[in-house]
Amino acid sequence: MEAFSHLISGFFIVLQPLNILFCFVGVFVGTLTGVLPGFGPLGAMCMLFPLTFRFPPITGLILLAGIYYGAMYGGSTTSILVNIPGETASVVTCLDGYQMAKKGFAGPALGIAAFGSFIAGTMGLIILMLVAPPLAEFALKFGPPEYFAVMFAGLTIISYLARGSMVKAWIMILLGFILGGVGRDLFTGAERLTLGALVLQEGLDLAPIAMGIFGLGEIFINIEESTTVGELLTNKIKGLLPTLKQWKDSIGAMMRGSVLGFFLGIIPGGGAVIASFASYALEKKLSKHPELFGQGAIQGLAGPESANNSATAGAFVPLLSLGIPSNAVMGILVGALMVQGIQPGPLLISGHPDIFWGIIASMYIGNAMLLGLNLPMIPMWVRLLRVPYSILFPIILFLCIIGVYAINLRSADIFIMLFFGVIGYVMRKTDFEGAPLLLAFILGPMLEKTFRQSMAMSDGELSIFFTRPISGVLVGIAFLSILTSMLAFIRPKVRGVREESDKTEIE
Amino acid sequence: MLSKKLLEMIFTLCLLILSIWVAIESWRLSLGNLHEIGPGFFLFFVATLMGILSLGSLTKVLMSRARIVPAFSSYKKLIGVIWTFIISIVLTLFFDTLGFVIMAMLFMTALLRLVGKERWLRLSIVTALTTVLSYFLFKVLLKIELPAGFLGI
Repeated sequence: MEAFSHLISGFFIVLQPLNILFCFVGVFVGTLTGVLPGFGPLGAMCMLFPLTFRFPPITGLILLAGIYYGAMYGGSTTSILVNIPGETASVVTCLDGYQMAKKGFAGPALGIAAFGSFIAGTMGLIILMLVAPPLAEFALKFGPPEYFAVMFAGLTIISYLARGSMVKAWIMILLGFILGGVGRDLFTGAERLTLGALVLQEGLDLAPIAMGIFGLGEIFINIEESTTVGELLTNKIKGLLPTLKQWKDSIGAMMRGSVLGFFLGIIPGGGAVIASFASYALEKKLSKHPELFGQGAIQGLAGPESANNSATAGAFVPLLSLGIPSNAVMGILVGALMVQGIQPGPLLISGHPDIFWGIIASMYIGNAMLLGLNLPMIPMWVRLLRVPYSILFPIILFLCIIGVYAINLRSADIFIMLFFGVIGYVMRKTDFEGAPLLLAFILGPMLEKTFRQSMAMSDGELSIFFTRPISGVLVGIAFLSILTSMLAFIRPKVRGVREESDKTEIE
Repeated sequence: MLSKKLLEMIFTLCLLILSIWVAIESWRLSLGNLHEIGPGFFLFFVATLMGILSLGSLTKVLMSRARIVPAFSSYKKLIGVIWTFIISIVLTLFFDTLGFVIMAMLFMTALLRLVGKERWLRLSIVTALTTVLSYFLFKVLLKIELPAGFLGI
C-alpha cells in the first residue's frame, strides 16, 4: 500500500510539463538510436548528458532512462524490416522477426514486438518496484567490505560473460581502473598519473571516455566498413494488431521472457543482450516445433523482445538499491546523479523518494508513449532508415563534439574524446571490448575507496573479506567464477596435449 | 596492408608499456602497506597484473598461427577515418578563434565533401540546417556558453 502511494506521488512528479516533455524526448531519441544501426543508446545518452545539468535531477534522469529503454523498442524495427539489428540486444530479433516479415507478416511481427516490449517493460517495473526497496533496506547493513565484495564479484562476472577472450576482458577492466585512478588521491591528495596537466588533476570525466570509445569508435568503424541498409521490407506492413491466435501463441513466451529478462538484467554485465539470447534458447527448448525457429516462429520473436525490455528494468535494481551500476549505461546514470550532488546507494530510496518513484512512474508513462510511437509511426522510422550514413555521421559527430564541450566548456575534453575514439576504433579492430573498461572506470575509484576503508577497519587484515558472511559469499563467488573460467581455458589445452601424446603412443 | 595480427601486437605492446609506466609511477608515489595504504598501492597492483596479462596476450598473438587477415577493409576507406580525425582535431584547435557558427559550417562542409562525397546542393542544405538547429538548441534553448569567435555570435 505504501508503495502504491509512493507511486502515485511519482506520477504527480512525472506529469509536470517539463518532466513529461523530457520523458517524450528521451523515448523518442531512444527509439531513434534503436532504429538507426551503428548508433547505440550509450552514445545518445552521453550526447545529451550535459543537458541534464541544467534541469532538476529527476528531469535529467527521466530523459536518460527514456533513451535506454526506448532504444530496446526501436531496435526491433530495423531487425524485423532490414535484418540488421538496430542495437546489440536486437540481434536475436532478426532470426525470426525478419523471416516473419519476408513471409508477409511484417505488421504482426512489429505489433508483437511492440506489445511484447510494453508488457515486459510494465512487468519488469512491477518487479523492480517490489524488489528494489527491500534490497536497499537490506543493503543498509553493508559496510565497505560488503561493497568491495559486490563490486569485485560484479567485475568478475563481467569478465566471465565477455563475448571474446577473458584475458582481454581483464586487461580492459584493469585499464579502466588505471584511467579511473588518474587525478588526486582521495585519501592523501597526491597527484596520480596527471603528467603535470591541469585538466587531469580532477581526474578524467566519464562522458569524453564513453563517447570516444562507444560513439566515435562506432562512427569510425561505420565510415570504414560503409554500413549500408539492405532491402527494406516496407511494402508488406499491414495488420499491426496481432490476431487472437498470434496472441495465444506468443503470450506465454512474453511472460517467460519478462521474468527471465528481469533477473538476467540484474547481473552485472548481463543486461539486455544476454537476456534476449537466453529467452530465445528457452523458447526453442520448450517449443513442440523447435525446427520452426529461425523460420519465422512467433515465440522466437516475442520471447527475446520481451526479455530485452524487461532486462532494462532489472538493470536498475543494483543502481537504485546499492548504487552500483550493472552496465555502462547505468554508469552514465550514476554520473548524472553524482553531478547533481546525489549519492547513489541504499539511502537513495529513503533519502530521495522523488527520484526513485519518479523514475519508476516515468518508465510506466514512457512505455505507454513508446507503444504510441512505435506502431503508428513505423513509416516515419522506415523513411529514416533511408537517410545515407554519409549524411548522418557528420551530424552525430558534430553533436558529440558540442555535447562533450558543453560539460566543462573546455576544448581539452574534445581532444580526450577524439583520443579515446581512436582507442575505441582500434579496440573494435582487435576484439577488445569497451564495456568492461567503462564499468571498471566507474567502479575503480569506489573499489579502491572501499578496499582502503576495509583495510583501515581491520587494521590491515585481508581476512575481513572472508570472515563477514555477505562479503565472504560474494568473494567466494568471484573466485569460483575465476577458477571455472581458468579451468575452461586449461581443459581444452590439456585435452589437446593428451590427444597428441595418445597419437604418438599409437604410432 | 597492415594485418589484424600486427595491429593487435602493436596495441597489446602499447598496453604493456603503459602498465610498466603506471607501475613505476605508482612505486614512486609510495605503496605503503596494508595497515597504511599509500596512494600508489592500488594502481601498482593493477598495473602489475595488467602488465602480466598484456605480456601473456602478446605472447599468444606472436605464437598464433591463425590465417593472416587485413586489419582494414581497404586503405581508401581508412583514409575517410583519418580525414574525419584530422578535421575534428584541426577545427577543435581553432574552436575558440573561429567560434561555434563558423566551426559548425566548416566541420559539416569538410566532412560531407571530403569523406561523404556529397554534392554541393545537398551539402549546403545539411550544413545550414545543422548549424541553425544546433545553434538554437545549445545557445538559445540551453543557454550554453559556446565560443563566439571573431564574428561575435
